[in-house]
Amino acid sequence: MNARLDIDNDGHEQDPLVVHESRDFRSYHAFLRAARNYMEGPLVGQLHDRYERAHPTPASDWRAAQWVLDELNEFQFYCWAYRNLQRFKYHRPTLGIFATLERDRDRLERALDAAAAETLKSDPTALRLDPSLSLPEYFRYVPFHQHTGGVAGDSLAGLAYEIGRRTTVPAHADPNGIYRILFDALPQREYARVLDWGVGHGAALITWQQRQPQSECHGVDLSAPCLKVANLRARERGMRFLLSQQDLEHLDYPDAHFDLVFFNFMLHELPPAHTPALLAEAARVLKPGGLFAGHEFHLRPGDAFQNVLQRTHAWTNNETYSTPWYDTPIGEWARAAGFSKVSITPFERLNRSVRRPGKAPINANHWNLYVFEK
Amino acid sequence: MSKMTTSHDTAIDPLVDPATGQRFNAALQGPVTHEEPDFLHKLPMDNAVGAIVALTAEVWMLRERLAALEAELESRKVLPVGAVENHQDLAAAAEARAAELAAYTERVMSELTRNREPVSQIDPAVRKFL
Repeated sequence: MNARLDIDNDGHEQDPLVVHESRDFRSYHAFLRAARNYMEGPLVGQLHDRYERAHPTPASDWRAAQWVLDELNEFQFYCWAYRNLQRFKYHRPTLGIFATLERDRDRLERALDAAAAETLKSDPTALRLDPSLSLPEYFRYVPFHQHTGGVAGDSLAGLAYEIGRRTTVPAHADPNGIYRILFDALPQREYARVLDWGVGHGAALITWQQRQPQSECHGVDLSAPCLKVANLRARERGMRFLLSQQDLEHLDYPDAHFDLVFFNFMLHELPPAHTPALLAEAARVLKPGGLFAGHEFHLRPGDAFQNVLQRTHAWTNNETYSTPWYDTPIGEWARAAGFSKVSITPFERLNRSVRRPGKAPINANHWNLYVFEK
Repeated sequence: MSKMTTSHDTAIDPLVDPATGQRFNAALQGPVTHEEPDFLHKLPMDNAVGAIVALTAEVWMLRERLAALEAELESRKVLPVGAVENHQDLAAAAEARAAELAAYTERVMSELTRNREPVSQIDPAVRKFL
């Protein structure tokens, strides 16, 4: 299906921009999703069984557990799959996301640029791009999730990220479900002005606006290609977002501007050397009583098996700052940054357990919900 | 998608624990900066062959089902007998199919000859944030 982009000066809904996905592309990626589900389900179950046999007394220390797991074929294959299924998703000839976008580059770039140009012309505050912005070193060093060049390195990087997210979270059939679960968990009240902290392709902010149409929705990101996608997707839905390309550590919003700053698994992408300043800046732009809130994966306390798997993801999937993140005293730093109430609780609705007949479920991941009140 | 430019810092061996110098089979201890790790170097060949044989069985199931489908279509006169066997592509279709075959072959074969350079290279200078 070839989509068209009708720029509508009145802000009415338009036909969505669709990346042409062939039947082969769809079946190839369906297989990759199935392989990933196998990896996160039956393979983890089998791995845990082998681990229990090899180490009947649960290891108290993740380092000890790591030595046991490292000898197991299941673990070696798990590591291979975690790294290489992601490579298969993005990089394979013909069927990978990058190859698919490349074939349609001209049309897609034109559509993104046309939507951006129209927004800049009709409503300049709705899309503020800053070509002179110097990307922070930590962001330039790491192509997160094995996204070659990073999410800011190519004009189509935002679209690649948007497609890629379908297999990034377990609930790939409903990739916006993870945002709804987060928003369900926040204190239910009216938030007049909200900021999506790392808005990316805009799907979370769209989900927010659908639930809270009265909110003034802002999104900030380092990546211009992502912001262009967010702008396009907002226009397609007749939504008005205020999108801005800025360093999260140096925002140009006034003090006490937002009622809510939310994020989706952003903290693990930030090195601890920058985290206190980032928290302080988020606190500055919040109104008194405003919330800084989001979800993030973490180590499950006392679960050495889970800790090893979670730690391996840091390196296998280029989540390079995850390992120092696990040791970050985020609550303490949040208080130091100016938050008066700090809540960090297990986010059970996001935890995905591997269920086994007649045995206790295995928790291969662990999520926390972070709600910091100014 | 273009790769990032990396600094000239020395490579990190991601399978070696920088604190102890101990080497792991698959549990990465740091970022992949210069060369892909070989997670499966201890995978028993029997297991690899088992996977290939299992895949061969799956391909046979597809072939058998396709043959049954052809036979059914022919017996119900949806297709003339031998239509699939004797099918000749027109020139343009033949060209497209040849291109498909070349792309298909590349997808499979390029895994064998794959360069070990990471497709997404982390700058080794990242160590200052770790």
